Amino acid sequence: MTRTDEELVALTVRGDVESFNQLVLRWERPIYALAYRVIGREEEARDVVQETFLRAFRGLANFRGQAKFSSWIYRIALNLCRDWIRRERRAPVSQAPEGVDLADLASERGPVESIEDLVARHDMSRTVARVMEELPEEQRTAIILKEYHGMTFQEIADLQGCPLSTVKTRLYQGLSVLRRHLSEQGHEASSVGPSR
Amino acid sequence: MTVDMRCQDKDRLIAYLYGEDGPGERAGVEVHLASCGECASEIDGLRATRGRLSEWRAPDVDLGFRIVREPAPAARGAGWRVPAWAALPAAAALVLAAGAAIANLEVRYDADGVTVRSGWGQAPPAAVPSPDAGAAAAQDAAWREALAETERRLRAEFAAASPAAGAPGAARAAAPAPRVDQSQIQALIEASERRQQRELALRIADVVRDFEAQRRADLVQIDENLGQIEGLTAARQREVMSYLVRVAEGR
Repeated sequence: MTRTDEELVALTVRGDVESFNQLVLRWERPIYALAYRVIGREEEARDVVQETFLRAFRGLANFRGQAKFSSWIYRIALNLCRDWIRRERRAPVSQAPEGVDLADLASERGPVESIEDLVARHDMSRTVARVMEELPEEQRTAIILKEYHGMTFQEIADLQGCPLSTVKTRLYQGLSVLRRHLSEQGHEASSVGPSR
Repeated sequence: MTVDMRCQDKDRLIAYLYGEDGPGERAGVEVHLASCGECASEIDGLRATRGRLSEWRAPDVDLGFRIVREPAPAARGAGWRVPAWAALPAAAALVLAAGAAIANLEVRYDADGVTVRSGWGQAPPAAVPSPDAGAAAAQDAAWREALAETERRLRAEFAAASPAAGAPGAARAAAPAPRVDQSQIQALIEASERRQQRELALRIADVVRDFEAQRRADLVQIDENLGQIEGLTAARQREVMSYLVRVAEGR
């Protein structure tokens, strides 16, 4: 039987460390993906994941369930990412997504895809990473939370601590800049956007 | 009820884009898009940009992060207490450099318990499994022995450093040492190996891409050079023809 996050939290607070490790297993990849896209560095993103779960572990006794566990750790991770960006006093560095498995990429499109197409897709990933780094942190984070984590406007507003209308503005402005930059780089977007 | 939309209502456009608008608002946006080419073009462009965003993939990494905690002694009560040995200054900052011996693995003992990490850096060459089965078995036995030795040494150090050692309360110092599951470590090592294989595949792709880029650059250069040669040849031909014309006219 799969336990809910809240059940696992309750078990952890009663001393069952393995329950917390189940939470880690459930959420480490989303948190890593978030950290990687926000700060743009693989190793630092790993550090953020570790620190996020350590902080969650330490603070679990104070977690009263006023928010979802996932929202809580997303908030911790975003705060750590923000700290990193401010500490480094620089924009995130777009780094080649080295862990992307070409075999996985190939299996998504079937065996007929050529190596040129695979590499082109890999390059597109880099291009998107590069243009995303041009965005202000708030816009970039809003887009990441919306596009890759499927959050609602309200959930993003809660995480970013801003009004809902500000989230919409950030998304609109960010997407418009991305659209322009991609067009300038010869990547006329033509496909249909992903659904939530 | 349909809610009218104007071109400057970008909040409504973005809510429409993500399907987070009400039925009335949605109908209003659709009516507007049917009559406003500029906004229709913009929504198409934003949809397409979202499609491009889906190409950005986060690396598929093996994180392997776990928290392992020693069961708290009954005398200290259940819950989130720090183990007795972890409170010692010597133990609090103790970090095992076990990664050098056991394939990129770091075991950290601190006030938060025991943390096991793997695959966070470059694995030492010795950790790369040999294709030779006998050598691999010997290597396996070696690091298991190293791990067991480390565990024995830690037990001895904790027992010696504890003020309760030898006292009536010595049962606390004799509490079981932090558990490090060898099968778990083996799984982490295998995960690290898989990651290295994936990275190799990516490196090959990079080489292919660089080679292709260089090939294209060379082709462009050759094309330019040919163009220059053709230009020079044509100019030379014109000069010769001009000379011949002048000679013929002179006659």
